[in-house]
Amino acid sequence: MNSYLKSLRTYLKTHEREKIFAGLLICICGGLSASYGILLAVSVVTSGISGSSFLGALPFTDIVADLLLSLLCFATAVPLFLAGYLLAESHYGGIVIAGIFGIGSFITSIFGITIPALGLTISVLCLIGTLLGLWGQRKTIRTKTRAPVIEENVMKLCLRLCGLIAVGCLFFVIAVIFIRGMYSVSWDFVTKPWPVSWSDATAIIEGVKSGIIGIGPQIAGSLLLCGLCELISIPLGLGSAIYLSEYAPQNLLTKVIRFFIETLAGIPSVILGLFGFTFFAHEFGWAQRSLLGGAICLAFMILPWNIRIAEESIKRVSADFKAAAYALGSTKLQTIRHVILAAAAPGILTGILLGFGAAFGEAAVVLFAAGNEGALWPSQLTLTSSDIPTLPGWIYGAFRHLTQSQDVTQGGWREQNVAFAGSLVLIFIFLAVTVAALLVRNHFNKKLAGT
Amino acid sequence: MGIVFLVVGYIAWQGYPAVVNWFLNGFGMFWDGESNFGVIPTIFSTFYVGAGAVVIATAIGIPTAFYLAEFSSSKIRNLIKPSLETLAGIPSVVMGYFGYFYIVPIVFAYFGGGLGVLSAWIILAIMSLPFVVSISEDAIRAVPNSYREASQGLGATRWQTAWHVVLPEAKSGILTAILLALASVLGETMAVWMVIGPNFNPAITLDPRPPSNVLTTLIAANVGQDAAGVGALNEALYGVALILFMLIGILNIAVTALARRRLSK
Repeated sequence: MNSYLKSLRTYLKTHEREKIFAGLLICICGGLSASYGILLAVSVVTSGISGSSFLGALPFTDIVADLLLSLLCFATAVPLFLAGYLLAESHYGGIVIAGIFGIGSFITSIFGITIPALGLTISVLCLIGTLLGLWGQRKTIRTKTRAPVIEENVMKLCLRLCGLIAVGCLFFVIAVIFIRGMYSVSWDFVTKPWPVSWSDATAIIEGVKSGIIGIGPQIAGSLLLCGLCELISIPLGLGSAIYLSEYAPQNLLTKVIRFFIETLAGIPSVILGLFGFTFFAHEFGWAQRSLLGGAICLAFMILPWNIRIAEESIKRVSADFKAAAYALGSTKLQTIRHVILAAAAPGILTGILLGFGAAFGEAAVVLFAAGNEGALWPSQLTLTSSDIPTLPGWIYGAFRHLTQSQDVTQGGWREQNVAFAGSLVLIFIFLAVTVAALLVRNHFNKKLAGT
Repeated sequence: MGIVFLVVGYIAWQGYPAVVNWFLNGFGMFWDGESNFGVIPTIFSTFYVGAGAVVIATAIGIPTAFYLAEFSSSKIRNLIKPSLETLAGIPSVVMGYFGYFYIVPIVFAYFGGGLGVLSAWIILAIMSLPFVVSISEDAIRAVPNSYREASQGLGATRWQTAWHVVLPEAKSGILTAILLALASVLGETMAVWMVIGPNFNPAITLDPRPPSNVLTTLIAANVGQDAAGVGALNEALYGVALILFMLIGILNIAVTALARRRLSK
């Protein structure tokens, strides 16, 4: 006990008083925020009712939103504690964070944020702390200059915080989809057909639970569509890449071609969807949504990527290989077929896999040009007339039905989970393809480097 | 190559009457999908949504890129950068679904509104973050190491080096990253569609809360309304597509020009 008192006394002596006070104020803010978070979480978990009845004045009606808010309270408490510590240690970062929180919580409480009393208290305390800190800092600067080192550390901290936010956001998305989706994913879910409509909630929940319904046709339809799209785009892409890198002279025509490839890459996918929806129906008399039309539009979408990656990997083949092949008496075609393509294969394969992944996740094209609400297995489909089932289309359909004429915060939790499970499957297949592409690239890079 | 001509040509052929009509008779302020096809509010809102999302993504993404390139250990960089790049490909329909159930309620609770520009900003910023981080990190790392060594040899700290030496050198690369992010944000459809409303006649206002509309969602929400596919609506939609296509084309040309200037330097 005595030693604690002693260290406290030395701490008080070595640090300026107003800064310690400011730091304490900010830490109190953090404590308030955290304890509100705890209260909210406890009340929600124990009573199962939302915090609105517990603390009043909350516009939430959703327990999940309440839990999120309590998480948010914890999340704000952490930087507040940090700011308090930094203030006491006379870092600028503490002042900056405290100021931001002061102003931010003031604005949000004026905006009709949830808990005006708490928000205003925090903002007043934060602003007092900021002013005290600023005052103390001025005194410090007058007495000693340690600015560059402090600045270095503070900026580093800010940059690191930004990095954490960026990575945190994306991992939060993945985590939510994973947690909410994983209960519904099973072997039955990815193989059984989907004979129900989204408006029949109990049928969906019971069906998924007992493993009678699933998204088999949707997965199969998406795979088929992307496979067909690759069948169209591989020959075109490879041919263009070989032509551009091996045969084409450097003239105006090549430049124009390159410019148009860039342009094609710049067409937003929804325009390709619009194109697919009207062009084939109008000019060829196909159905507005069809397998072949969708595959052609998707092929347009991924063609520029295929060409670019294939061209780059062809260019990277070392000139020695080519020279050796010519020296052995092979013709240009033979060289391209047996030497260049063989050496560039991993790069081309990577491009194909990445294109497959992009096509698999694309919704805007698929929705308009290929189909959204179909439920047929691939064997029952025709090339140009049926509305084919696709996974992105299924997710979008789920979204439309679940949110129709419903308030933002309502909607059936379990039905949402089923659609999250579909999203999880989509992301899983997408990530599997992407990771496979990266593994192929790394494997062959290592092999090439090794020999 | 014929394919590209086919697509671009078809869009231009279908879209030019509407665009010409807009230029002759004014772009109009009201859209009802039958006889009035005013797109000025939507064009305004497109720029507003795009600019806001890119500002948020830049504010978080470029410090992150600096952290990864200048301050972090190579272990952290090798872990974070590939995972960010992989996450860049989360399908936009999934992001929209997530946004509707997680971002819209939070926006609704804290700012009011819900479905609207603010939600679209947040979801688009999350989606374009990996883009911004990855491209600007490459630009920062492309600055020769000798510059850093010279600066630190003169006694500058790492932060001073980053701010006064590396940032001015990497400026054009970072600008490229921002423009590319803007182009991708303008072309984004599904996620925006699911969180922005849509409201075909958004008020021209800087208030980011009410439901709004962008060019892509205008197309998406109206495809299929015109069953025959030959009417006035169809023509107007192709006109909207043409405008959007030109906007993104201009951005892409700007990016190419920037890259060329940097190479020649």
